[in-house]
Amino acid sequence: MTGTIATVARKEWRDSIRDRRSLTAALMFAILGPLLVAGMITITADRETSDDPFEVVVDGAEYASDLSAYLQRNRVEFVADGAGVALSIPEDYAERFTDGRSVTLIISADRSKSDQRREAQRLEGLIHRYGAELGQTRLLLRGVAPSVVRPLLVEVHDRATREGRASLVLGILIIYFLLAPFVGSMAVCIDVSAGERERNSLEVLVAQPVSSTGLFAGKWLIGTVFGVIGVAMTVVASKLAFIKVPLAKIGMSWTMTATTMAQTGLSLVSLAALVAALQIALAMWAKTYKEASTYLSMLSFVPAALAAYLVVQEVESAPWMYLVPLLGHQQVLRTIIRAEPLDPINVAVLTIATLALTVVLIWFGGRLLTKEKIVFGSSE
Amino acid sequence: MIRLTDVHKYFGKVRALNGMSFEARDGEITGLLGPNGAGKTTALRCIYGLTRPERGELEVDGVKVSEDVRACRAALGVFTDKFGLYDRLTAREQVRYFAELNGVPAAEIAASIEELVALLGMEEIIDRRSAGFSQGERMKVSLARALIHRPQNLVLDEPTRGLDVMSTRSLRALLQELRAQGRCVLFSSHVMHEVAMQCDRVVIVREGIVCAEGTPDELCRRTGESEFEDAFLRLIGTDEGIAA
Repeated sequence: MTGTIATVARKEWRDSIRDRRSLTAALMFAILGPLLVAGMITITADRETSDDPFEVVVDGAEYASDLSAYLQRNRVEFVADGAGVALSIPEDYAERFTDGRSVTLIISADRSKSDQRREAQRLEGLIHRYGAELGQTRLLLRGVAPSVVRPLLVEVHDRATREGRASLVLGILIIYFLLAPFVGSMAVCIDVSAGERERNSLEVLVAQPVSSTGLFAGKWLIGTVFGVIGVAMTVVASKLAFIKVPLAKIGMSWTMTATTMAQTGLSLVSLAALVAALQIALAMWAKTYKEASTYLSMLSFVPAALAAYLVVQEVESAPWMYLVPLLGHQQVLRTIIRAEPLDPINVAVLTIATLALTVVLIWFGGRLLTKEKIVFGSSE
Repeated sequence: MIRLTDVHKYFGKVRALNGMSFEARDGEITGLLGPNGAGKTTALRCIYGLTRPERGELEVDGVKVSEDVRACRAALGVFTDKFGLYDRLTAREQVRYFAELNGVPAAEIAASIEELVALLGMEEIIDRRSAGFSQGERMKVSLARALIHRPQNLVLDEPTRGLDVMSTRSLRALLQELRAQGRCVLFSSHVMHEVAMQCDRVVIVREGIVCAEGTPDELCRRTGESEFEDAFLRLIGTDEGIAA
């Protein structure tokens, strides 16, 4: 049987690498994911969170030293000129202030730009707060409780934190890692099963004096190789895509080290093996080539949906998860990417569970190749 | 030698084979002739073990298919009605693939391929990828991969379908050559003329059962007709699904 596996694998490898177009498409997808995440980060990194310092062009700061000091304490950086949000303080600020009259301050901003809109809002909020504090002091001095004129108080807290954002970004990156073995081997898996049947060569192939499990295993081996190539491409693409991304700007200190890369790649090998067996069996079981494509596209939604759910729901890790392929892989990846210590027992459990399921699927796939309905497909 | 004894195969309510029995001997070309839907393809698929009959026994060189399907397949060359090739492989790569699957010793493969190239006249195409091959060229590659392990028996399902005159002639020459070597050739057809011309023995099937067998001359004598065509029509009792 090893001879059959090697023969089939050699032939399928040669056949597949000559199919340049579908190969390129699959590998393009592998690169696309990390690039997309990197792009997202670059765009959002420029947006600030509520505790970031921001610049304001202040005109007349010298007329209101108290206010200026208050603003600067609250992370407003004064600049002489620029195109950003501007604040102008009138010359008679001190005079009106001492007389107890109101002073009009002017904030000018381009409100079509979301950055300026947010900064202008923050500036306005700060000035209101300062004004309110002053008003309270004045009322107290006149013997009036401030709560009399302010029956309702509202405070809005922006909870967007850098940590939250970082974990979201890494969660999305994990989705692409989990997808890689699916996408990398999909075209090949369909080609060696439903494709071979559609081109009318499957009947002669299964009429050869070899074990059908051997035939299936040879095809599976090449599916696995392509899955692993997909994973490797995604890992390398992540490394390259994140070189230029200003992670520090969103408070992430994460880097894709050689260790992270190796661990990520290796932890997904067992998944690639399982996915190849599953995809080939499913494509074989489908009645036509088209049906097989539909099934496999649907199948690749599973890792995406699962990982997305786990990211959004922030599900706590549990030991039983390592018994479930895909779920366990997601857990392992999360641990690797957060640079937390990896428990070798968990990894071993996951690998054994995944490979056991793979063996069952290969056996099942071999059985499929002995069934008339599978070999002759819908044409009979 | 290939022998079928009382083979039954049902697909749901359809009785594809209804107790089919016949024998294809070594050193002879046997034609399985019958209208479309008579069970020819099903009978051949039972021989190479892709279809399992409900009842009955099939033997290849005395080995029962139900007992050792792999030994039977090793003694068979299979040529299916739709000869699918791997378009991205060269003819040589495809033939080599089947040689390896059949366990032909690595040292012998190259020489065996050269032999078949000469026999089938494949010098022009052997190192070309098979995408774009004509039907005749595809037939040659299919024959080469069926014969690469030198099987004693060759089974062909409607081999001349879609072939031009030249290809049909070269196929005929090849079958005669195999017959001279003492091999057993069994092919199915719904084309009377072809069967009458080439076959030593004809097995006429209808509705999953053999209704007559013998040499073309014998069949003519038995029915009292001078033309094989008339004899055949008389034997199957209809001209539906038959080509002259």
